[in-house]
Amino acid sequence: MNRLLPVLLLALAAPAAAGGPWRASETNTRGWQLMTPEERIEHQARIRGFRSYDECRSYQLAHHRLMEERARQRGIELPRGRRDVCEHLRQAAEPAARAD
Amino acid sequence: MLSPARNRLTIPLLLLASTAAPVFWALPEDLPPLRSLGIILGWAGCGMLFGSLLLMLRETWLSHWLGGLAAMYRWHHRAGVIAYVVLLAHPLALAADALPASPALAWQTLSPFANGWAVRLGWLSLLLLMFGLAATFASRIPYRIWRWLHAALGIGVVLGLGHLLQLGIDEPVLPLLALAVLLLGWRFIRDDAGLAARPYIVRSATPIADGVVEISLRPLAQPIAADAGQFVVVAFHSGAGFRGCGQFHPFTISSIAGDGEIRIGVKALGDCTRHLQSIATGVPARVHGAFGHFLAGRPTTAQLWLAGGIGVTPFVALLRGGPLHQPTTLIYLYRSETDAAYLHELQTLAAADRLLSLQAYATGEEPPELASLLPASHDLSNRECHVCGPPAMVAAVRKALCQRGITTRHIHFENFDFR
Ligand SMILES: Cc1cc2nc3c(=O)[nH]c(=O)nc-3n(C[C@H](O)[C@H](O)[C@H](O)COP(=O)(O)OP(=O)(O)OC[C@H]3O[C@@H](n4cnc5c(N)ncnc54)[C@H](O)[C@@H]3O)c2cc1C
Repeated sequence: MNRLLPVLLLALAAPAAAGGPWRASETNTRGWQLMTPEERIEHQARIRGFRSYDECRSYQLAHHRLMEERARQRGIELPRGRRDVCEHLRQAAEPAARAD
Repeated sequence: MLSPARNRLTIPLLLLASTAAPVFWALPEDLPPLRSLGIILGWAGCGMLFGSLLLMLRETWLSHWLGGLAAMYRWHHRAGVIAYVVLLAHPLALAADALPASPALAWQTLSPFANGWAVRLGWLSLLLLMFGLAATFASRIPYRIWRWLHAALGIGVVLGLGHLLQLGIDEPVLPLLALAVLLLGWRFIRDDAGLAARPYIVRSATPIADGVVEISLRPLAQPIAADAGQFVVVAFHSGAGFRGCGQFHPFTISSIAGDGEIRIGVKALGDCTRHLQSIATGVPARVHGAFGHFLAGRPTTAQLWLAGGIGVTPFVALLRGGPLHQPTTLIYLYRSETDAAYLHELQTLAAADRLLSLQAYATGEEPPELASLLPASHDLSNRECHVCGPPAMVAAVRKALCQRGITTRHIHFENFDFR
């Protein structure tokens, strides 16, 4: 027990340093308030699954178009997202921020 | 042996660590409070479940580190219940987050019908956890049915991880899934299928009271390492005209011979143990252990031992091992003379050992009058008390001893009831 507990505590605490999963929210997803709970979950899962910026960006553009269309049908103005959800996939060479 | 305080703290600390680690890792930022709470509850429940999975492993070295198999199972059960409640609150908090926008949106957040497989798997997992836990509380269900219902909990854990994978969180979840499969597989292969157990054979089976048989088991390979009064988990298989039930059940070693042969007294308490009353010589068995330290490390001060029914076996084991070194009173409670296992042997041992005083009482069907059976407070001071028997009797005796001023530090007990 003397040896076991510290080892276990370390092993279990190790992932704490890694940072949690990316999460979709009002601040990083345009049209969040126009999405159903199912769409929000799917959107979050898809963004988490992208491994390249281009894939992510083309999904993002399609998502924007869909949300703009929904906003037009409801006659409301779509607030701009404050963060680019694909930003983490962009290489350091192209640092410009683009709001989602 | 570990100090009692360290013993008590090890498992809660372990569970705290296994709960806190995923919560720290997944701590939400910049999210509304109720959604953050929902996420925290989900990860906390997940961590708690993993702690609970670790505690179901029946390994002698692990039980030694964690303060005994009884404590491990007790906390395995508690952690499972806490995890279930926390995990049930997880979708509720997420729905509560959506409630101010509209009740319809809150319902959509919860509904398995309005959502994809991510949410459906979450609900399926919770349903299985609920079934598995309900079975845990239903102690009247025969063990052979109970253990399959309980196994639903394992499937619930795997489905819960499937829920996380569907949410796109594969980085820590795939290793967690591997860990869950490892722990469940370990338990199944080493413990339930008996890989960790050693092969023995029934050398003799002698009825020693109504519904009690003493079975001698001879090792066919390296015998297990055990001390008198410890318990083993034993499965009896089919052979020599006997159809074994094959399930592992805990039994206390009532004696150990130099060549590793062990004896256990088996009382007919349920399906399997009733069937064991007719066991024959030559039946193969697998023995895993030994576990427990109920009577280990006793100080040289005077002792009070209290046994209820078949709970007398650890004391019999110790007395068979040689004369006592401290004055000891053994109070043995049983329903009637005919079902009092080991009574004549204990009377002979007491006649030969002046340090042993035996008080045997037939209490009938009603709960015993402990007030008149237990020694007065002044006779109890400076005594170490050891109690073993059915849970209701152990609880009543502990309460009565505390009322007589004995501190819990001096009361040691073993319940014959965990599954
Ligand atoms: C540490 C310990 C030491 C024990 N030592 C002995 C002993 O020396 N002699 C003896 O006769 N009995 C002993 N028991 C009790 C014995 O294990 C049960 O009587 C046996 O497992 C009942 O199995 P069953 O299928 O016949 O009963 P079931 O039909 O399943 O149930 C009948 C009763 O036995 C209890 N029970 C069922 N399965 C278990 C299980 N796996 N573990 C514990 N309780 C269970 C149930 O809660 C119920 O009260 C001990 C139990 C423990 C925990």
